[in-house]
Amino acid sequence: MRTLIHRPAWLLYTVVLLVPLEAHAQLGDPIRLYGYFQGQFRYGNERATGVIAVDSEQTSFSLQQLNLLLAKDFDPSFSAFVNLEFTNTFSTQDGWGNLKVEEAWLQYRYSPALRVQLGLRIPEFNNLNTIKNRTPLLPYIARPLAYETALAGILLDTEAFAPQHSFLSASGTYPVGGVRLDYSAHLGNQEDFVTAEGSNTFPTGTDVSLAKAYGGRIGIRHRSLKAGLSGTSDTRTTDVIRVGDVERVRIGADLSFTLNRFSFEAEWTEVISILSDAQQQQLDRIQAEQTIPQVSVSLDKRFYYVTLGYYLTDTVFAYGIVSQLFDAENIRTDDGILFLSGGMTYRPIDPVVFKVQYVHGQLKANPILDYTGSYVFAAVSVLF
Amino acid sequence: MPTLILLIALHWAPVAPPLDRIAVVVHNGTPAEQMSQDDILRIYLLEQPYWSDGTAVQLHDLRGTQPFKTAFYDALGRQQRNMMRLHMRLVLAGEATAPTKVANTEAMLRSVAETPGAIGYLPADAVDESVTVVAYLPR
Repeated sequence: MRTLIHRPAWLLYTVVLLVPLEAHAQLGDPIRLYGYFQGQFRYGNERATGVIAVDSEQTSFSLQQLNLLLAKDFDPSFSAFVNLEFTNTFSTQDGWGNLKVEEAWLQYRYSPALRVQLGLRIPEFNNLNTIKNRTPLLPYIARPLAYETALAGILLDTEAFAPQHSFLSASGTYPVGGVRLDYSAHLGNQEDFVTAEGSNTFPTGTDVSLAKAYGGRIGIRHRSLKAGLSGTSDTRTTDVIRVGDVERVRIGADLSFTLNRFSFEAEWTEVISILSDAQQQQLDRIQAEQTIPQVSVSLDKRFYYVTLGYYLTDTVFAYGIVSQLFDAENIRTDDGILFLSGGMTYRPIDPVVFKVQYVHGQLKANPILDYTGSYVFAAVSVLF
Repeated sequence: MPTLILLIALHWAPVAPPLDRIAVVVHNGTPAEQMSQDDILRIYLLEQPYWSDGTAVQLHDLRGTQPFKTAFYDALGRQQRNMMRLHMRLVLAGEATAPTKVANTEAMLRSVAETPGAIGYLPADAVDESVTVVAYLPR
């Protein structure tokens, strides 16, 4: 663990040491160094019965996230961007938190209608995927379920609902009168890629499978209206339920607009696993054999959220969210997790936003689990 | 006959800028003489990061929420809070340079005049020869 934490630390030192030098010998404009962070307070009250018994209250302060962004324009055609993300009060001294290279890509810009990016990038999918971690943009502290990375690996397979990374992408915008038509397409590794762990031939973390993930989004913008359709296709490995590789398709739709002082934002995602007859029979057999239900007969998933907001003033915004997630693969979330939330933001100046949010979460999968949680969050998000 | 001469003279007389309008201004020497509303919108949507001579567009914007800023974005058919979100979204995605934010129209005039590639907006009656007007928008 210690090794894993120390390994990326040299990246930070490199950034801090190199940026002031500003690379005078290099082409183009100076490097732009900027970023954002969000510090938060959280009060939680959780009660659960069933396979997990919980009755607890917690309060906690944390630096939820800090992102350092570096951008450089070499000339009108070529630019590069690096996004380093520190989460959960990152500290190598204390051995907690995480640092990762969220994005690092080179862009070739032929025109507004064609931009090509090479390197690690968050793919366009619906509205929130690319901005789920851009805290100054979001009114939320706890994000709608499929985007709440704090739940990843604990309760939910959040990465199943949207593509996380691509390595080759193209995007562009075509103006048609007052309307903007947007497109993006991406190619990358599958989310559950086969690592080269233990191999003598490939470095750790190399995807050694031939299957790749691809997808894209088409969208339309007119004034404040933004709508789009997204899709991805990849292959996932299902070690837990032993049915082998499964073709997976995600489809999604997003819609957002403002009308006078009202703001509306919604997304819907369907995750469909395409099983062969043999795989379906294997899944049925596993389910029939289990004494305690752990696996459903389907691997499909569904997620949606709807946010309705209102600008009380130019700087104060209030909102409510309804979000629900169904994951048929996990019997605990087969009947859905309900997420009800409301909050307010106050933006005294453009780069600073204060946030408060109340969240009520509910998960009922009788008799496996009956969970309710209430949370109160307060946070400040700063763009610098 | 004198009336006819007067009408002809008025027709050919230099037309004074409409003082109640919004002047879109650029740094002197920027390769832009006349710009349409669509051209200006494209720049403020951060879709055109460079001028035709390769100079970077230095987009100027008023800080916070101000009535004149609201009037400018209304003239472009956009809400200022949506434009602020769009700018922030593109800047945080690494796809655009952050606009230069200035406190008021006096600072806007000074900064556009001093910054190569700059574009900004001013009340028509606040413009002087230190910048070039490329369009007037209704207020």
